[in-house]
Amino acid sequence: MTSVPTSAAAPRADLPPATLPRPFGALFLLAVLAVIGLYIRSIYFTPIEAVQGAAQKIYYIHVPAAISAYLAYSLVALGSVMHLWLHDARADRLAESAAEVGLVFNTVVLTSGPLWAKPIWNTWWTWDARLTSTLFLWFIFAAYLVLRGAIDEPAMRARFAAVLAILGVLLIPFIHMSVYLFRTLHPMPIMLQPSAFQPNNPAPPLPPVMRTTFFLGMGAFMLLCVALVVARYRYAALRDAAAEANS
Amino acid sequence: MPPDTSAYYHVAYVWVAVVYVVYTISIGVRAKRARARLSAGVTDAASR
Repeated sequence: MTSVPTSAAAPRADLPPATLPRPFGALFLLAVLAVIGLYIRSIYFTPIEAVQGAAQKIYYIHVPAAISAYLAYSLVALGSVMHLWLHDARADRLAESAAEVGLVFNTVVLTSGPLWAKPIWNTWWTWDARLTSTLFLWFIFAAYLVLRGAIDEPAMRARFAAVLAILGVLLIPFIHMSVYLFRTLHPMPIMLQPSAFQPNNPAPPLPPVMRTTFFLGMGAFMLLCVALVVARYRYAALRDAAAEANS
Repeated sequence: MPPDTSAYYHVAYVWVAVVYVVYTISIGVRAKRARARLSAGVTDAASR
């Protein structure tokens, strides 16, 4: 069996506590400022949509959260493949950290969606392909974290979790294509399609002021996603170093 | 005149902020505990 060194890239235990790395740094501060900027722009400087009313503004947090969840889960897959290939504890730590952050963003998607659906669809939830498969994705990565907590042996935990994560990430292309493959209540992508970027499009999917808010949301949430993965990774490195120091 | 759906939008924005703040605090608390365990482990190792 391949052994996994838990101390790979972990903080040195002989360092004084004041010099130990802290989870949050400049990247996280930048992400928080970006999200605050998004909130201010969305609330005060973006017009209310004529048909849906103010609930349409949920779009600026719902879609960026979904794309950020995909980003985090892609990092889980990357870390998992790297771990299976190189048997490096840092890759496993990246996968573990990104899975937890991805689950948080997935939770935001699954809770902000119904808050948008209720006034527009007149229902909180419908078992259509997009919503159901997104819920399944949440269950898979919740199971991933439960699995990690249930196995004590580091090498076995990392290997089993990596296989589950890679299989789970295969659901993401299906989720994205589900609105094309099935008749769903969930709308097709508005901005994430080639026609949205044509410069002389006579009927752009969003007016420029709303488009700018949307892209600010995408940037802010993806930055927050990366910053949280970095913070969670630093915590995991501290935890592993502490476990080694106390063993 | 657009329909008044602002209550859902307000709840969504507050809820999303709460989720991220609580998760950030959870990372901070766990990291603080890990730092304490690490420094305690270092102290124990030094005294052995």
